[in-house]
Amino acid sequence: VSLASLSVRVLGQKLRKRELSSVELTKWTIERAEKANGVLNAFIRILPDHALDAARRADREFAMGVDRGPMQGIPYGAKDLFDVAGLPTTCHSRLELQTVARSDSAVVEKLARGGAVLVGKLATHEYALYGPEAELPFPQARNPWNFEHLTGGSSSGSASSIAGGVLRVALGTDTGGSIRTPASWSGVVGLKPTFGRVSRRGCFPLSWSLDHCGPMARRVEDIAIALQVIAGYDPLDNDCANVPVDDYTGRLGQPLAGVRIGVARSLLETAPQRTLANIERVAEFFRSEGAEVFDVETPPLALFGAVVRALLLSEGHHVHQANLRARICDFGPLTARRLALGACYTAIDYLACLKARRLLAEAVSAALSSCDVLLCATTANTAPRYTPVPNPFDPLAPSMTNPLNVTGNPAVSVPIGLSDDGLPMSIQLVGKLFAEAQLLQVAHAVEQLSGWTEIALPVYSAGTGAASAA
Amino acid sequence: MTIVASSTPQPIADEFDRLMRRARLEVRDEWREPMLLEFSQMLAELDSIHAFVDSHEHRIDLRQVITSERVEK
Repeated sequence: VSLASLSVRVLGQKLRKRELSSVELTKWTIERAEKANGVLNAFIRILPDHALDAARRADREFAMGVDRGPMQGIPYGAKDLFDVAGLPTTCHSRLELQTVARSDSAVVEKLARGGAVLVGKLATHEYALYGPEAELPFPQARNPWNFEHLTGGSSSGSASSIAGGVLRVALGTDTGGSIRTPASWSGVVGLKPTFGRVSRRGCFPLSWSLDHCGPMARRVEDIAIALQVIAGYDPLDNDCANVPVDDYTGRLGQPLAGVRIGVARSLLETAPQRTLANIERVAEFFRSEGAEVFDVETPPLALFGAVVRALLLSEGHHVHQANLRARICDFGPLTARRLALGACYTAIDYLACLKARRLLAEAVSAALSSCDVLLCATTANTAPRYTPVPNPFDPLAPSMTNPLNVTGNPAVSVPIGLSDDGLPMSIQLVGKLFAEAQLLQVAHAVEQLSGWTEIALPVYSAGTGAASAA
Repeated sequence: MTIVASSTPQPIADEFDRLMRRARLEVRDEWREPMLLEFSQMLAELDSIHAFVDSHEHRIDLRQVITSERVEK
């Protein structure tokens, strides 16, 4: 049995039974990362010494009977926006190549406390904005399912490393869909938790009112385990919520009878027929399991996108103002152009967006008062080709992930199968605020019922130009 | 700055140039046209946002975190 096929839970069992050591698992992961990176470019930096030190520590503690929780001894990667003490946080930008973090970000700190093994920093779109673009100091992460199609971003390296069979779990960030879009296009699971559920301390900001940190993983169960470790109150993050952490694995596998699923039709208004057919297929799974499925009303998709563009670019401009004035040509052109546009919003515009945000969020909460989980799409289509680079603010094709950055509700992208051209297809599920346990219960059922768990990882190699399913 | 022929109406292009000057940003010539296109879209979106907000006159406490005081029964 390949280690790539074993879940975090099973790996944890083997580590505790001493059938496998964390050092063995970590060496295997590093070798695989180094080999895959020549093709996928998922890692900006692989950390063999750092990782093996952590793995040895985990093994020593297993031997002493010290149990630090479900991620103990498990390798993971972090998008290169998360600070790790003593290492550069490059944000995949020329401007940050010399920026060395003084301390760990909150989630890296929590994972270290939980005994997890950080094996590398992962590629992203520059400053978690848009892309891909060529004029950056590191190459773009590639989609293991087909190199001619986008990985999606901005958590591109996180998605690529998981779909490429290197990691089971990676950290991502999501300001307008940067966990869920690459999850959808690369065939992995991506969770944007509730706003405030996971601390953002030590994670480079893009837009403080919309930024979320969360896990990406091969399976929903892996996501639940990672969330268990990284969720929780942090008084050093002003927006982190002092809300008790649930048991996120406890409801996985529980029956769906009686669960109410609302199909958010207005969030699907630009979806093509194939995507609508996928929604109907998943709705039918739910009905067959005894869940109640019905349509619910939510505000129009375009309004959410407009609010995200204005808040994100206003706040992003503020974050980068000094560098935009002094070193604008050191940014990639796409990043520079979009961040510069943030200067065009007035204070009145910004405040109107905050008010619109609250109104939109209350409308989504009203929809979620009649059901437990919303069903919609993560992306309108499967991963597009590299050119033209998709415009995330295209008014004719509004983002389907933006609405949940506006409202702060938890949302998960779950793969459900492969298209005729061999690319992953996904759906998006949205939960009530801080109700990730129920959201993951439903996501887990979709993963099982869709048959996704039977689909093998893609096989890819340098020079083929295109990957293929095993 | 080299003036490039643009499909953007002149008043909008003038406003864009004024805002870039105010922000002390030096926009490359080849960036101006795609930025003007996005700027025009942004203005249209802002019209929608202001109209939406103006149609809801009740007072909202903007200091609240987005997750607070929301009812999801």
